[in-house]
Amino acid sequence: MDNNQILQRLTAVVEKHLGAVTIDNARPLTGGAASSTWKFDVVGGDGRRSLILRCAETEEQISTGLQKSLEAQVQQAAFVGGVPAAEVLFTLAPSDQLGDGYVMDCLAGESIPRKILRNKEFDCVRPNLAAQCGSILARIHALTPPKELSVLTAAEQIRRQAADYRQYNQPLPVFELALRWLERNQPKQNNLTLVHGDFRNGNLLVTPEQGINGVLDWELAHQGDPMEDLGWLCVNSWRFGNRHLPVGGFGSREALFAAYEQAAGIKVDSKAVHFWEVFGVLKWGVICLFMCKADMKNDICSVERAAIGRRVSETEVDLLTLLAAGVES
Amino acid sequence: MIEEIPTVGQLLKSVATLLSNEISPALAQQDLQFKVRIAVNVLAIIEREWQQGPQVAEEEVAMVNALLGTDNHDLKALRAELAEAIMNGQYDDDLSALATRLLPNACSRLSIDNPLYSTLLELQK
Repeated sequence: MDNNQILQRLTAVVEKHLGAVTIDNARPLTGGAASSTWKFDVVGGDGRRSLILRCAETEEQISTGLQKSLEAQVQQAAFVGGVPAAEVLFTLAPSDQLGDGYVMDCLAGESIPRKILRNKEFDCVRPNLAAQCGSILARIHALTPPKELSVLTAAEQIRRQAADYRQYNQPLPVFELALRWLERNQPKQNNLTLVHGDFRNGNLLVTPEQGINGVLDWELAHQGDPMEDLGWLCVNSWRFGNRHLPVGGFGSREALFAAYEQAAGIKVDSKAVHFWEVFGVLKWGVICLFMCKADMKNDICSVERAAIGRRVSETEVDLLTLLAAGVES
Repeated sequence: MIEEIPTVGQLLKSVATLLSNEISPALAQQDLQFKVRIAVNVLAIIEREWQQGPQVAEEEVAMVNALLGTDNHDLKALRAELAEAIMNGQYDDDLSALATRLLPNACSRLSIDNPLYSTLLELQK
């Protein structure tokens, strides 16, 4: 499918759902490794509205993400439940010939972590971001998960990471140590809730006025331990150099936990959050390994993927720092 | 190591300088400029591995041999053996002590891949 064809089909499906409108300014967006995303404006009776088309990439499915119709269902449930998420307008049908995808509102905000952490215009909202994350996560965890969402317990997720890592036949003692520690330190099962699955700096839309204005990328949503989202948010790779601010590089665990507890009315299980942070570092390490290996053909991979392959040692040091006694993490 | 002139380091630096100072500014596409930046970074990894790699590997061989009580010089085999020992529970008594022992060499390897990584800078303080 070339871009002209996509545009033609997009126009047809938008007219089907929204009536006679003109499509303007349509352009593909970079980012979202496993999705192909378009931004466009519809111009009609009510004026101009910016929308997003989010489709599954057909060629190379990196993630084990949800079908887009289910992802849209989760995202819409979040929108209706008061979570800052884009409203879903409609889901694509096979007859639309655009693949698996959906169309949603385009929310304002910056998602590039380094800009959120360094640009002056965010100075005002940055100190509140960790607390905002806490109350948004509490709201997500209070939603009723669609029954179709898989239940992913800690044990199941450890098993999956171990299988993914071992298939590359590249033994890494640090990964083995982390897997062993995770197996032996599983949190007792907290309540099963909806889990976003990829709630981190990079998937948050931030505006200078409101702070967090949108939560993106619902494709890894599942049912599980709510503490998983809090731990993943603290993984050092998502602090983008601001190691001293464990929550996304912008805030403290105390601020995150306090806001979560206030909104959720339950106590944060900080040991479980630590477990999920360790798990998250390992998961990111396995993804780095995967990105490079999966791309490798005849012993060659792209320079971007090659560089990501060399980020495995970052996760090794983060894992050991988390697990070694007496090292500040 | 044979020190031909220019050295491997000097050769790599000449290519990196060409890419950064001449090729990149001539590129119209931003995504290509981004790729060139990554390529320059990859050249820096190669240079550091050329300089520090042999010593870091030796350090790892010595550390793993000390842990396992072996005298093997094949790093890949040693890693596999240690990985298996961990998987089989041989270090379950004190996983955090094992983490402490593995940390210095992991830091040395990270110094090759990304010497400015936040955790590494923190540990070096």
